[in-house]
Amino acid sequence: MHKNTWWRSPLALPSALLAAALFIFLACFGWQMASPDTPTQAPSAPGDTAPASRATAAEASAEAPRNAAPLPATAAAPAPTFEERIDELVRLGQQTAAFAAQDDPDAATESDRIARARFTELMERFQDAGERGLGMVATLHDAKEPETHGRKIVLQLVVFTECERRNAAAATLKNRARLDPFVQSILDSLPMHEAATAVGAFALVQRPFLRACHEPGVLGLVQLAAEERFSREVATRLLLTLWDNMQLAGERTSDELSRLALLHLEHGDPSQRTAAYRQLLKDERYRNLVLAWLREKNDQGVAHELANLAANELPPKDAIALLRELSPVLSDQATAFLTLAFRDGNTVADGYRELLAANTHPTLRRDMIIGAGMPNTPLALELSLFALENDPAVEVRVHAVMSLSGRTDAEVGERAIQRALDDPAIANDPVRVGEMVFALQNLEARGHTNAVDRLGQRLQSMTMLSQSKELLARILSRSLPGGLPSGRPGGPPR
Amino acid sequence: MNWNLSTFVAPLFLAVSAVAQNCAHTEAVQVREPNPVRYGAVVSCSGLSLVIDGIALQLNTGCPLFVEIYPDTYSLTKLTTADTEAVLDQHQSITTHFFRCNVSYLIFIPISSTCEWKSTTLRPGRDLKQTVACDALVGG
Repeated sequence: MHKNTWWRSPLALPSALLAAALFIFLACFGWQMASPDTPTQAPSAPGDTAPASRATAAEASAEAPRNAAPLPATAAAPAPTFEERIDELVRLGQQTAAFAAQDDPDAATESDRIARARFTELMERFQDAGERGLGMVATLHDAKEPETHGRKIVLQLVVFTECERRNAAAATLKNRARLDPFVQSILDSLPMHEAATAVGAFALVQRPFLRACHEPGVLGLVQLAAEERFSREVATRLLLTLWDNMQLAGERTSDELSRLALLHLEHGDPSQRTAAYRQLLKDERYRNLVLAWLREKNDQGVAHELANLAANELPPKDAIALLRELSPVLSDQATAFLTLAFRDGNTVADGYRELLAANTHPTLRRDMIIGAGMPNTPLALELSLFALENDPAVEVRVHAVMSLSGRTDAEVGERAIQRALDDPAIANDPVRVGEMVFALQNLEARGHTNAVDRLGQRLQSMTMLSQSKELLARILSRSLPGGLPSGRPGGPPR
Repeated sequence: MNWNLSTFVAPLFLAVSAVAQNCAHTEAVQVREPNPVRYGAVVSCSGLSLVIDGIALQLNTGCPLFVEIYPDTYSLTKLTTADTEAVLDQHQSITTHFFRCNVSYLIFIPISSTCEWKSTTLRPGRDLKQTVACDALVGG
């Protein structure tokens, strides 16, 4: 057995001095180099295909100060773990929100700046932040708890930011080896629970990350949705995103997707069918085909879905044209026109004026007035007043009154109802008078008590259905002293 | 007075004929609204979880600009050979709730974003009818 006699060698003294110097240097500076507050680990090469090993390395680096030489007594606390950093971000988010709620913009801005810096630090320190984030998402069972809800929000940002940085790297390196498996992991995690669905949907829906290689995963979710084991809405939106991305990336041509859509149109599950007619609607060449298919099916549910898709996604003028085409199938398109009016009220208003000039399609005009007249905008006010004065269809005038009575300005609403009650086509029809009671309820909801009082007096003297009379009595009882308009026996004096 | 059978039968016959002539021969068919809660376009925000008038509004994907509540059931009028008529029994309103996302877009971690109710507007929209015998209508 050899004796350990290295210290007797000629090199012993210089070596010992060197070791002592190195020890002193490391003791003084080494732990700071690895400190969490001054991350030393540069972002690794984006093309790195071993996230797990790199994760271990990152963690080792993050925890190096604890495992290396004993720290001086004054050393900083151990580097926070990934989970601790997420919780710190939750606290920062809550603090920023509290400052914002207290109308303290300076404090909110400063708190937000710190949150951004901490988030950047987190993403730099943990090159596998996405995988760690997904792991943490798995533990979020009850997302309604404030802390859990906060974690969900932060983890959404982590997972999405991870997708973004890997996507950027993939574009630079022309290599998606780090992105695609991560996206697949997100897809796999989606059905776990509600929080996982929310995090995954935030990262993937209407984002550029899904590609052809994820098609089986997305279709798997569509299948789960068909079995009512996953959100139908999210499955549909993922499929729509996938098709958009495949087309943009040139993985499928528009014609190929349209052919696929035609197949799904007839035989697909509801999510596939939605994706199919959206694809076909985007292409003018196929629009008439979809309409013909719809007329043949005469399915109100599908027609509504199609109308909403058009209102949400087609260029406004194309959407108006399509909604007009759908009118023989759909008797009520108010929701679609309201959606479209939020996007482009002027186009809906122009569409209305055009139909009014031709004095055609009164039902469509009604829905257009509901859509373009209900938002609390100057255009909506102008259009509703115009319709009330000029539209020959009593149904349209009634809905113009409804829109006007729903505005914040009491005088506008009251004048509109009074004007309607002067209109023989309304005043002489008990059903229409009953509709004016709904308008009165709109005024009541906005606290316009005096207007309710004046109109209540007038409405009480008019003929209407018994059910409308009961509603009127309830409105008056809620909003007026004694439940009677002023000047009535038992009511307050005029 | 010279009463005979025809004195009684003739007015009755005329009344029945009048009923037959004025009768719309329709019946009310109650239809279940397939889509009673309709969400408008959704903006990026915290989701919506709210119960209004006993109706649970739940949306995880963001804040809808509006939600329309259609009555659960409504009536269609169908032609029939019977001497009946579908008459309006109840006028039902469609309710539109408007929402807004209360969020400061400066906030990086949007924990504070809330989907808040803004206003509600009613409009007439759906009728509940009942089937009534035509002679009951004439009598009424």
